[in-house]
Amino acid sequence: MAETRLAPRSALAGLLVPGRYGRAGEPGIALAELRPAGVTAIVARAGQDAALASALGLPAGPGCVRAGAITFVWSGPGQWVAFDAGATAEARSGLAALPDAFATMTDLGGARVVLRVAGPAARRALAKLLPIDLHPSAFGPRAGAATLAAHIPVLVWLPDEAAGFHIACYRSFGAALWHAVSGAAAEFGYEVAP
Amino acid sequence: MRIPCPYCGERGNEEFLYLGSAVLERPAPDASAEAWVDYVHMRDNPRGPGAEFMQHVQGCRAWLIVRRDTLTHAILSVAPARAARGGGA
Amino acid sequence: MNGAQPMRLAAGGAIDRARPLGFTFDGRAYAGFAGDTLASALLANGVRLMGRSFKYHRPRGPWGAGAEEPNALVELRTGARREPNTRATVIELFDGLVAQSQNRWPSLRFDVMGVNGLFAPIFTAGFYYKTFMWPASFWEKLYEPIIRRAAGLGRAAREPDPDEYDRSHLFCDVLVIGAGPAGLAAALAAARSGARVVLADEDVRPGGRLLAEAHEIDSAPGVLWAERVAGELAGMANVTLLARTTVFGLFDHGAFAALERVADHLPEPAPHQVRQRLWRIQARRAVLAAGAIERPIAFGGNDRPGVMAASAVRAYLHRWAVLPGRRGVVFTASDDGWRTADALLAAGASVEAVVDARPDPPAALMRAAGARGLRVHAGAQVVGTHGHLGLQAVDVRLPSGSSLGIDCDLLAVSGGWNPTVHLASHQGAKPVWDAALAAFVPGRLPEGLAVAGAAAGRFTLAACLADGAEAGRAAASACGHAAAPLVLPRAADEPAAQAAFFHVPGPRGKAFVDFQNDVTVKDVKQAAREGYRSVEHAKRYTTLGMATDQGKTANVVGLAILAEATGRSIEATGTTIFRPPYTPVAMGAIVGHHRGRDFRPARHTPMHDWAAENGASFVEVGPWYRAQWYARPGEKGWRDSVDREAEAVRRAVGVCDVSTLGKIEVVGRDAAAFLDFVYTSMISTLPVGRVRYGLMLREDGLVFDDGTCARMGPERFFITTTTANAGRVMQHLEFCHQVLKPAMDVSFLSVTDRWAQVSIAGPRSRDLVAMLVGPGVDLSTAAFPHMSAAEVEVCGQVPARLFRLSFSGEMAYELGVPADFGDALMRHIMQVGAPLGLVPYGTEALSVLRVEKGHPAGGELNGHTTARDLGLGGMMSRKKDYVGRRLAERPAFTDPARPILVGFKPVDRGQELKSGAHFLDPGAEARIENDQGYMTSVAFSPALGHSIGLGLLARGRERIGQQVRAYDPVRNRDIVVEVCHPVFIDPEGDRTRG
Repeated sequence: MAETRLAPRSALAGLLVPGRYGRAGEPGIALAELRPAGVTAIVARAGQDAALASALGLPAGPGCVRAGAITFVWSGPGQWVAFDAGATAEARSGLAALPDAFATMTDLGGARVVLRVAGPAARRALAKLLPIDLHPSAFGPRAGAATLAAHIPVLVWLPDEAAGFHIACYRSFGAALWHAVSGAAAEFGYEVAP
Repeated sequence: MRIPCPYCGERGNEEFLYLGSAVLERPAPDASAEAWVDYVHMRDNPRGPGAEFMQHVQGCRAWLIVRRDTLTHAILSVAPARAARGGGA
Repeated sequence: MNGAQPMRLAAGGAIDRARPLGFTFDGRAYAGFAGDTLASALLANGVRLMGRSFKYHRPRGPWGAGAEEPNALVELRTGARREPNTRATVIELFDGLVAQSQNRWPSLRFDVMGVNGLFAPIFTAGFYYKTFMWPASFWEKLYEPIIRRAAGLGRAAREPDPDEYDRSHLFCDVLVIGAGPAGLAAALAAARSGARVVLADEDVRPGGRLLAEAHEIDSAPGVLWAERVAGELAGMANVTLLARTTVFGLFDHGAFAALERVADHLPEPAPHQVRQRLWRIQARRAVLAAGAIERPIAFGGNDRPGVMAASAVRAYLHRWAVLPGRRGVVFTASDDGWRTADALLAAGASVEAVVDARPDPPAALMRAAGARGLRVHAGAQVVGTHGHLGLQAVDVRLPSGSSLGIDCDLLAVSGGWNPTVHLASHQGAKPVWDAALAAFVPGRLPEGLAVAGAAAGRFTLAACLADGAEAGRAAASACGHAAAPLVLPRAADEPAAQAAFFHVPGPRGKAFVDFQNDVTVKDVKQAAREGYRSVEHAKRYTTLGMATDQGKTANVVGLAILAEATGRSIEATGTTIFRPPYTPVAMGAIVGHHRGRDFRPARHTPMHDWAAENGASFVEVGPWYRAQWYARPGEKGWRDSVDREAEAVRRAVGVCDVSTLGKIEVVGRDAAAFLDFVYTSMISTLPVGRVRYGLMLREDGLVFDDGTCARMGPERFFITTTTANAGRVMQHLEFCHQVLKPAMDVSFLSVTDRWAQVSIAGPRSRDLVAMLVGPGVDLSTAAFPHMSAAEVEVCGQVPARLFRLSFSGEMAYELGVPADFGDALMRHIMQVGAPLGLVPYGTEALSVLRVEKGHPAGGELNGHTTARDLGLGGMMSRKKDYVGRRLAERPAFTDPARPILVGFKPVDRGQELKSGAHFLDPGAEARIENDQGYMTSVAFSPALGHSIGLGLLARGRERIGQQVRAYDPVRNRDIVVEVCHPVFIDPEGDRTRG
């Protein structure tokens, strides 16, 4: 029997339709779903937090670090999530080759929904959802936080101002997060790119 | 109430799970029934400074020992439970 | 004067005469201007009767001009946006505004209920507690309906609120509350230092009291200074200005709540605009510059329309260019009240007299009055008023004791100023009485809060400016922003002495203390006589301070009278407790978007859309949506679907989405030892590739959760939990690790959302699984027996995890694929499974199957049961310590008489069993002492053709075959049931293990 190929499907399938929404006029926010090629949880083995962080250049506390196409986001003491935007096989294999004694790696592919919120009004929209200080002096490039967005646990990070805010939640909350974020953005006008 | 998580910084108490008194040690498996009943069911209710377990459950998920004044809500100190109890960093 | 607005002054005011507005009150059309409030526009039109009081239905007009207004409460708007009890003094007029007066029938001018005034002797303090008590039987049928019809003021809308509300967070260094002179000075000083400043004011324009007065700053009108400062602040990137925003609550650690009325001043919010916004402000420092509220004096008939706060009269004259009356009298106990006489004269009204209760008013004021030809009566008091629907005359008692009548249509009353200390007192520290000021000032301040200006008892302009500037500088400095002291603008300190004069002895007629709740001086004294001597008791007994205005104009007068009546000082009497919110907040604003379907976020499995397309009926399990059954066309009720699904699983094969169960990856050198500590059974002996049923107890010995534990590698375990407890189990594992076993090398990761998981169950399940995992995987019982685990691939390339587990008692598997492939997998399974008779089944059929197999689940894991109760005592290892072990052994839990899990069938097979029924011996009386246990789960068994149940019965195993009564008085049922073994189908388990 010919092998059926199973096709992947986003939790937000059908929800993001390209166009302009909310308040009329120039949109203040650009919204997009990011579909990383890979998501990996990295947990340091007992006593290895600092060693692992310095070996890989990982943020030692809340924040994010970009190494090529992979962004490492701190998610807890000795814990990080690596979002791979399309790294080379070489870069990925480097990560996968980490000795077990150092760190536990777990593939989280499909387990997260990631949204990008960018534009001049992004901070004001996110202030409706996130109970943390998003002012540039408190949340600038390479900042990150594990917190809540309207009752949904999220990881939020800002690689740099141009990249915009990235928000990740458990996949099952994806539609709810999209609903909350797009609702918060409507007041400022938002655009979903094709 | 704002709780200063040692990892994440000051956050609202809605991000935390409150468990209760942090002054008790889990008895040995063969300790008396009274010791176990005290550990599981009996609590002091201090009016003033006390130590409590809280988990930053909607953040970094670290269990913390929070010393808090129950009268004024002043947070006197916050430390990761694991480090305080002899775990690795 | 504008003919259509007879009381509007020809010039002046902060209104925009180029923008006339039309509005309706009680069905009549009127005109006003942009910048008016509803109250100022009505007064301009000569309308001063605006409502009827709560208890006595007395005619009322506005007392004040601001948020503290107790009288002029109207019903605003119509239809779904109708809002009762809104203060006409703060409603911003807009074109087309519609308002109605409240609490009157048939009309405001002729209110039948005004007759309540005749019953005044009955409606005294505590009347609620003394009447309607007897006979008790009359309460429900007679008294309560009458009271309900008479109670309340305005009517809420019945339709759903069409508007949107939201909330936002705001962080700053310095929060300044109030944009009057002190607040503006504070904000300017702090902002110029570079600190992040938020300035909030409940009004639409900055300026506070400056808007109501004729004060000069730098030799120009004070309002111009206010606008200039606000303009400078608006241009600074480190400043956020929140207008129309009331900071209504102060909470621990620098947290504040504020309500912004984004679109209240518009007929409708603009598209994508909210009606109101709740701000959650976190400030490192705050300056409370909330000003002060003028207090009334209690004398006979002090509530008549036309009796107004002296400061409010000035506000109507200066801000809105409205004359509240043509012939005024001023009754004052403060220097401040005299300025109203000057303002009235300047506006062209007459002032018939200034009555100062103080025997020796300041000589300067007396001289100035004499120069203007003003008649002054020092040491005199207004004792009564006349006029039914509005003031026509007052009675003055002169120092000699003789009485003087004065015709007038306006009485401006000034009892002095009360600093607005509310926010400073929200943490419980009471304000303190300052005898020199004759006012309460803030007491011990919450950490990080400073108070400036009139709120701190500085009642004069120059002092406010200086006070605010210093407070702003100090706050910014405390946040690390050094500021040069502000160069203060030039302003004067006006005369501001005030006396502690609260009520007039021997009033003629009712002397009101709390206007909104109709509480009089007599009521307060009566409360004291009856023993309600503490302010908190007197408040509740008289209801003084309990109306929507929370006693802003009544509390101090009331407690002063109580002090006098109980022979104590004002300090000793004290105030009642201050609580948020400072002014009423709509529930919609607090709820924001979290209502209806958005009350809390929903969680969907990767197969949700597929299920919806296939007739799924969803049930909420916590935040998750789970398919209960999949209805087919022609099926009339849920039983049709559920019976069909359960029967199909036992006969052929079914597929169920079990993605919602908690899944946790437990990894580390000490993972096995750790799991030994949290489960009752030995886990460390589990070989790689095998699965064990896992029971977790709470430390008190009761069952916490159950699931499976699969060993995927020497140091890697994959455990499952129930859907409802997934979060709690994770917290428990983290606690056990970080607090109880911190040295262990083990980590936990929630992978609930990583794996889309299905259960494939039934005699043909193996055939179906074989089609999915391909020929390379040996699924024979020898190679892959019950309770096995393996990593496989599905459809050639998708990594998957296969488990042989059964909840239903049939041969069964669970298959997990990465969540992105869940939808495709389910569709593929449905396609390849069709020839096998595959049906999808939901949680209801799942429940039927597990009840038939006597499997404990939610109904049994209810927090009251032990492992032994559920027949799982054999899973409690004796070889190790684990959570709950010690207290699971306590005598009450090992008592053989304790109810344990058995099965039940109705003796009359046609009857339906209900969970929750309690068991009694046949013939025993239905009393708690005879309770033998209760039914925990029930189902209709298609296999047996009748209702079955599981339940806990004392000595249940010994009673198999006997009959007991299932007693269910709540649902009026009482049937006889037969006790049986809890496993109704395949008790040997051959089908599972085959």
